[in-house]
Amino acid sequence: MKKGWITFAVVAAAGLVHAAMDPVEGTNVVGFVEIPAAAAKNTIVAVPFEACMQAGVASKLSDLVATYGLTHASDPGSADQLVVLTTDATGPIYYYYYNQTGVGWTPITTEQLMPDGTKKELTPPAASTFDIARGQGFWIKRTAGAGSSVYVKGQVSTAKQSTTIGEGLNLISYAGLTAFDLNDLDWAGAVGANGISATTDRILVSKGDGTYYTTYHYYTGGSKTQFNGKWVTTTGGIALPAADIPAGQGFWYYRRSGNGTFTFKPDGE
Amino acid sequence: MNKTVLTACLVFLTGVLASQAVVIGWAAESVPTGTEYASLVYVADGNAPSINNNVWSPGVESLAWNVNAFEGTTLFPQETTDATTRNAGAYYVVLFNYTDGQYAVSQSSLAWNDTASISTSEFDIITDYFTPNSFTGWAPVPEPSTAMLLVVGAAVAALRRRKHM
Repeated sequence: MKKGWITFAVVAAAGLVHAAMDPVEGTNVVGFVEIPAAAAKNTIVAVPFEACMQAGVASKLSDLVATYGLTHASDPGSADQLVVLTTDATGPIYYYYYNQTGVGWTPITTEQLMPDGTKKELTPPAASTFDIARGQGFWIKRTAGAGSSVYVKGQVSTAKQSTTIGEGLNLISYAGLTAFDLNDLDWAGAVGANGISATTDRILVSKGDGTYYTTYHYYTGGSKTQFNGKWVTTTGGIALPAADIPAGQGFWYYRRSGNGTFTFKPDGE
Repeated sequence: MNKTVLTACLVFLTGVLASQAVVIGWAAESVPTGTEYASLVYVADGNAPSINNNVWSPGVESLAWNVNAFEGTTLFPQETTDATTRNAGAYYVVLFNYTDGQYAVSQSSLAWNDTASISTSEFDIITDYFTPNSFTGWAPVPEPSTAMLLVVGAAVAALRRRKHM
């Protein structure tokens, strides 16, 4: 048989087999998002995904943050670093990881300066065991000369987001896959007070240039009724946010003392 | 979350502060009737600022001006950058009534090193806003032309008195 006929027969057989198969369907869709993260700057990242093949389960730090395009080195000071906020018996703490050449995200043992002047040694768990829940934020510190993006990956969730926000500072995000506007989300549970006061909740979004944040205040019950239930800027004058927040970018939510805990359900119940 | 502990964490996180510039969180409550604009000023000696012949008293620097984000008698929270490194002094809120050419000064001040209302980096978040709620009475802002007229008037009066002697 000539070569052409053999090829034709193989392609035809493959076509018949393909036609006989049912399409693969399921919820285990893997996705990735490119997040702007400038060199020599610190960026708040938030992963909108969950663990692969485990719907509803928090993923591990090493699985979620791709090292593709990041700066690696044999010493922490020369490599890109991840900084995650967590708590221990003494309160909030930060764990550090760096992109070690040939290894990936590697814990860095650090010392935390305590208010009384003492130092406490912090040894993070392996990045492969550190849980990062969908909607939880953390920092990436880029080295000088590094690229301008970081990629996060995981399983696309089919469930609505539910993130607990306690009193104080919370590092969170909206776990969507596209850029979003704060005022398009459901903020039931956010606290304002007759316009804006000392008890009003705040959101701080990084400008990405190393300077201070853009601060948004939750406005309710004031005379400017067009802003009721909205996050607004107040510097100079009162206004609505001007720009969308990129998918995968996190922010601080400052829950004022006395306002209690609430569950952030951006997509509604 | 304990601000002190968090600050310690964050300062540790950065290692070295990226810049000496600071961001000051400020607001105002119970501003007097007639207030049209607010300013934040820095005073090197920490004493309340004043205005003479449209010029600030020595050691005063205006950091934010013509802020009019008011609702009733409340000025919404403001965040103003001070690019100069400070190691002394204080910040005051000054109110203006341009219509009547008057100003009023906050009766409390913010120390240059306040950790709650002044941020030193993106890792040191403002947790409180300096919010004075008591101000001096309105004081007139003498315009230079008014002052000049007074000077000229005084000179003319002195000359006339001399001629009559």
